[in-house]
Amino acid sequence: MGFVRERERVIREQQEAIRELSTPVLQVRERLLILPMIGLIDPQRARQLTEQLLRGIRANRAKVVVIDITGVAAMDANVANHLVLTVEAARLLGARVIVTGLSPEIAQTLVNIGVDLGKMNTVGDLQGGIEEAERVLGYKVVPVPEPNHE
Amino acid sequence: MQVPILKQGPFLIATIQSALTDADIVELRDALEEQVGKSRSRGVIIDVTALDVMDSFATGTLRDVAQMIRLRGAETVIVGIQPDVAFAMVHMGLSLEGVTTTLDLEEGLDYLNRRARAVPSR
Repeated sequence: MGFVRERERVIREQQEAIRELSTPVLQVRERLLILPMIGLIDPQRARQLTEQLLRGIRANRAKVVVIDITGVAAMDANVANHLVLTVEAARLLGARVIVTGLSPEIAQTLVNIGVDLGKMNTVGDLQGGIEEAERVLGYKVVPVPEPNHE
Repeated sequence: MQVPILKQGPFLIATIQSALTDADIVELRDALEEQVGKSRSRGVIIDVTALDVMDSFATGTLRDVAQMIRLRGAETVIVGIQPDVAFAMVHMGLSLEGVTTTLDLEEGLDYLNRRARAVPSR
């Protein structure tokens, strides 16, 4: 009996570790974080995501966060609502959120649910989102001129 | 229990150092109203870094303070909301909509300085 409980504990801990690994908060520039969301988001994962993000904003002093949902399979009302709350919580820490990778299906879901898209800054794809974030932060990416070979 | 309000150039900085009773919050509101007028401040920073909890009364009063300060031609910035507090606030539907919030005091001062440069002095 003890063996079964021990196994269950190990499985729970591994699930927890996997959840944390699958929602990494990544710094790609000074003050800019990226949160790629992948797979199925259940309420528990959504909650953990938000907590991790807020801690990351504070630790990295992020001013902009790009949340990319390209990899999210489907979004129901709960997860959509959670996303809105995450955006608002990030704002309370002084960070602006840009949501990228909305598929037409998810966009339609959000509209149908009645999510106030005015509260969300969305850009088509991750690249566009990062470019927008860089603009907001005052970065400009320019090609370095080829050195002359005399 | 009084919240210390310090003058920093054209700005006032109110640093909340521990949990406040409702009466303390009202006292802070009144003190800021008086000081903003006296100092002709252009901005007010309310530092809530030390708060573990923000309830609906605190949130509502802070919104009122920001509104009142805006009517006097100055801007309010709430700084230092902790991650756990922010999380709890949004889940309880407590909003600081319309009030500028920044990560910490440094960011708050930076924001007010940029705004002051953008808007000509009275």
